Amino acid sequence: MPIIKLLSSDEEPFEVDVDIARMSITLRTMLDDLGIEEDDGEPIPVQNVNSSILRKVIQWCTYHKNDPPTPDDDEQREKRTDDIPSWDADFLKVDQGTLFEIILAANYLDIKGLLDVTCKTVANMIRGKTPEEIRKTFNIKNDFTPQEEEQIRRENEWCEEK
Amino acid sequence: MRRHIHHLPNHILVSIFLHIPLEEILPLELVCRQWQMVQNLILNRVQTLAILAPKASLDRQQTGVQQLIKRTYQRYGIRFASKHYHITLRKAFLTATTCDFFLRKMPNIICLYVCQIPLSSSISQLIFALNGWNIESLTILYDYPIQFHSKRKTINKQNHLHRLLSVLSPDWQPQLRQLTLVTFDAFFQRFEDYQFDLSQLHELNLIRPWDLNRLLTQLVSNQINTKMWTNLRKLTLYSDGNFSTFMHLNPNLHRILQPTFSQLTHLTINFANRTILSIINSSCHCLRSLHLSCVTMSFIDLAVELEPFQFRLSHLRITFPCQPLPGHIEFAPIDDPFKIPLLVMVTSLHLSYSSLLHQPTLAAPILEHIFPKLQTLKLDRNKTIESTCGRCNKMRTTSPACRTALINGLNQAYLTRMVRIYLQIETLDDYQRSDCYTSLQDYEFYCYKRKRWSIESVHL
Repeated sequence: MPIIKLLSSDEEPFEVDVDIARMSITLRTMLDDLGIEEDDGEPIPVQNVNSSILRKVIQWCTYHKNDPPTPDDDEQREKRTDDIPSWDADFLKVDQGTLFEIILAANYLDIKGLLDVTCKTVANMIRGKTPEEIRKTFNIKNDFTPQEEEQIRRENEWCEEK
Repeated sequence: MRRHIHHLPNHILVSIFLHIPLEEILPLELVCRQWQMVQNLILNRVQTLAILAPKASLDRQQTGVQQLIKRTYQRYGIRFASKHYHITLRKAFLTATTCDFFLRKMPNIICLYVCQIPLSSSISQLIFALNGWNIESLTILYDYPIQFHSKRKTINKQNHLHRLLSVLSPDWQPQLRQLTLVTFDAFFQRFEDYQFDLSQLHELNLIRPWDLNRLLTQLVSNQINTKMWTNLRKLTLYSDGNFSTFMHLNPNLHRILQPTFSQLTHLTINFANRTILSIINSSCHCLRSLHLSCVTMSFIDLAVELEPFQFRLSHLRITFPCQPLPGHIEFAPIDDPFKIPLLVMVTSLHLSYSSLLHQPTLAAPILEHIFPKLQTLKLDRNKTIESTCGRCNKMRTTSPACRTALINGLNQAYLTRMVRIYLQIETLDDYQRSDCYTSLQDYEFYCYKRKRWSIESVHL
């Protein structure tokens, strides 16, 4: 199995199977453009991802290397959040900071499956909560003035209709 | 630096929000300004909306919108957009506040389903909404038994009708492409009183309209402006049985139907018999796809009646009654192979509630004779086979033995030419109970292609 080297933003090298690296569209394009098929000595810099997150990303890709290709996204389709595989659910039991780092890495590396499952995980953290509970969960500051908040609440009154 | 949710760019927040049901997205704008903006981005893009009555308010038949839409497809073959957002009302009717909110937050709705919301209490709000959106596809969907009449005796049906019809204003009508009314009472009761311009309508689905006969009577007596139908390509007429009686009583109907439905390419009709098929044959010259429901003829008898269509039809769907009728024989041994009709253009055959799997060795040669160019055979809602098999008393219609019997029954050369055979995985019982699906019209099938069975999710 051909191997290539990736270099994290904090300059830690990682040896990865080419097939696993190619699960990232960003890396695949890079490999194709540069005509790299296996390790030619020069590591490929992954500038936006630090070593701890890159390790997690490689771990996820390794586990999912034989998954069928993810179908194209369809924004108009209502999506589910109750179908996260148990391995992924365990894998994503991390603190919020790490979870958001993985999301940003999946986005930068363009790994659709990982981005999808991490987005679902955050969606599950949002679902069933009031706006106040959501702010508390994610430590979000309420930047509305009391008047603005009251106005929005009034507009959303139909949700409270009994 | 520890990452915070605010570090996620808006397009990722959009991806996260898209995993949340619409009704839970709505209050998210209260969280902060960024979330308000992201929510607005999403809601502005929503084009398909299903508004559903709350579960608690109606009877036990009340089900989720997916089940309703899926059931409508199963029963009547009406295909809906597979992608949609739905929202369940807090009250059993539309209020002014709700409609105003929907219109303001989701201004770009073009495809609207109104499911199980009694028009008696919501008609003016519905009209308000319809006038606010640029609806191209409107579906008013009741699940039967019809809720419309229940309990409130003071309902002035004519008044509701009048008001609903008035919403189809001259400005609004021409953009409507698809109109589907399922168990919708009285739409056509006073049809002659209104000047419709539905000339751009491409698809009309009328499911169990109580007054279909009246509509047809008006058609026959030229009371309806037939301009309405000139662009119609797809039509579903699904009545409760009176339709065939009516057709019998009006032998001149085809003279009316011929110019009216001359552009039809897709037709679904139930209780079709010899007379009706003859009328369709003489009226619908462009017909490519025909779905016959509640078919009580034998397969060969039906094929004989369909033979005049043989150079038009490419897609044929036959739905047999879900319960076997006494004395009904779907496949009988062939007495004279030369008398078997040919449907040479049919490339796709879809059989629902068929007993083909009961007798594959008998049925397969009949299929081969009638459909020499068949490429796709789809079998769904197969009748359960009540025979023993090794371990259990009931043999599933998709068991390996059953699948092998089907394949063995077909001639190998025929099988090689055929592209695919789809065999629905669930039994009938499973199918009706099933509510765990990810898409409205994707079903799991065993698919036979290139000499192998595999499992595929199929968009019917």
